[in-house]
Amino acid sequence: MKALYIKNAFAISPQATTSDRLERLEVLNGDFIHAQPINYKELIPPMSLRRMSTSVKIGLGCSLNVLKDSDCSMPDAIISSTGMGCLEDTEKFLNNILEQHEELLTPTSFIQSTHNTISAQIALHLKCKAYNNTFSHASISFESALIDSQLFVEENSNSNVLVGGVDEIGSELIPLTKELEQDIQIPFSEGGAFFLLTDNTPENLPCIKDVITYNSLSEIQLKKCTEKFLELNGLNPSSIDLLILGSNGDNFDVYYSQMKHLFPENLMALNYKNYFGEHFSASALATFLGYLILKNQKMPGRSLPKPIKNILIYNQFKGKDHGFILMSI
Amino acid sequence: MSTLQEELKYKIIDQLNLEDLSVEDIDNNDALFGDGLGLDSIDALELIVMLDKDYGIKITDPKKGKEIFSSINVLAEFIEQNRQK
Repeated sequence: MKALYIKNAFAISPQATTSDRLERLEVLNGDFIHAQPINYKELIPPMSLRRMSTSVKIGLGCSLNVLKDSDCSMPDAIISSTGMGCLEDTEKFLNNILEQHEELLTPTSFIQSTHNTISAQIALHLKCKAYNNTFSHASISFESALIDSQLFVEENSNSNVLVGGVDEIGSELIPLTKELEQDIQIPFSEGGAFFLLTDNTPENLPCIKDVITYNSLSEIQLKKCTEKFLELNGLNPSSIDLLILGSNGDNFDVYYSQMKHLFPENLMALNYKNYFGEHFSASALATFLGYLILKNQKMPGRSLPKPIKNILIYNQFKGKDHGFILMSI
Repeated sequence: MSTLQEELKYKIIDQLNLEDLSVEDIDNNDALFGDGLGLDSIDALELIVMLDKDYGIKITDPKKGKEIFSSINVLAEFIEQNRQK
């Protein structure tokens, strides 16, 4: 597979938003942490903005910022991912159905509640008629969007692909999930990150070298799959400079412990959900963090003993939907 | 009538998420669609449902909607004449 070079990226998350560096990362505390909004009014006309839910604003806000600072105003593909879709509008619409006994339902929240609203709103805003797709595969949604990006550039050389992942908290389903998943030790949150990717660049840019997903893996299979994934990319465990892991404090963190055992003991590891919280698009923010570390060769709050060339991001949710993202520079 | 006009302005701002507008910003004779308030066809559907739900008025002829929603004054007058609740 071709490497996907990251021309530009932007994230909106519980951390202070920035496009090219994070001076510091705050560890999140609490049950639910919302994303820190940017000034959306600077980017989106008020008559459009009024109908947008949080995830649409995050998706469009990130996308416009990514394109603003790049040489590409019109991507060749828009591929987004969201685990839960536009929850705010979904909850509003479902509540309306109950309260109004399935009668006199208004159209806005229904129209806006579909998972592909985010990609569609980006395309409408840009007037972009190119390839447009949305992936909604729980915690491997973003990884699936990256795989689609790889497939797209395989068939369309010299392309610019706008790809990202976003999820929002809403007001009912996530609090209910939190009640049911009490073993998860970190806050549930929201946010998103978008990237402008290309298969062809003369510059030495950070890249997404490879992505792979598994719906289910045993702890023994995890070892074999990780080694095989690295081997396929001409690497071995000692070639990895940083592990970015999705530990959330539940019993399934044993997968992350197993993963660490595959690598040299002194390898740096970062638990990204301490900073971005738990949601199905959190791995998009892990990728954003990996991009910043590779690009700036700096890690918030830590000094680097040696240059970071290869990063492995690994995430799973409740022992299912395992995603591996290999990043390099 | 002026109370109904105020009530309609509050409902329009709330139901159509016109966050940046206040009741004082909407003149009773302002056009609601096009160059005035800039509402669109999705808003028209929201208003038709609001008329049915809150005032018991069913709009069956789409052409009539264009007339009724021309301004707050026209809408208020129409509601006064046709309201079932």
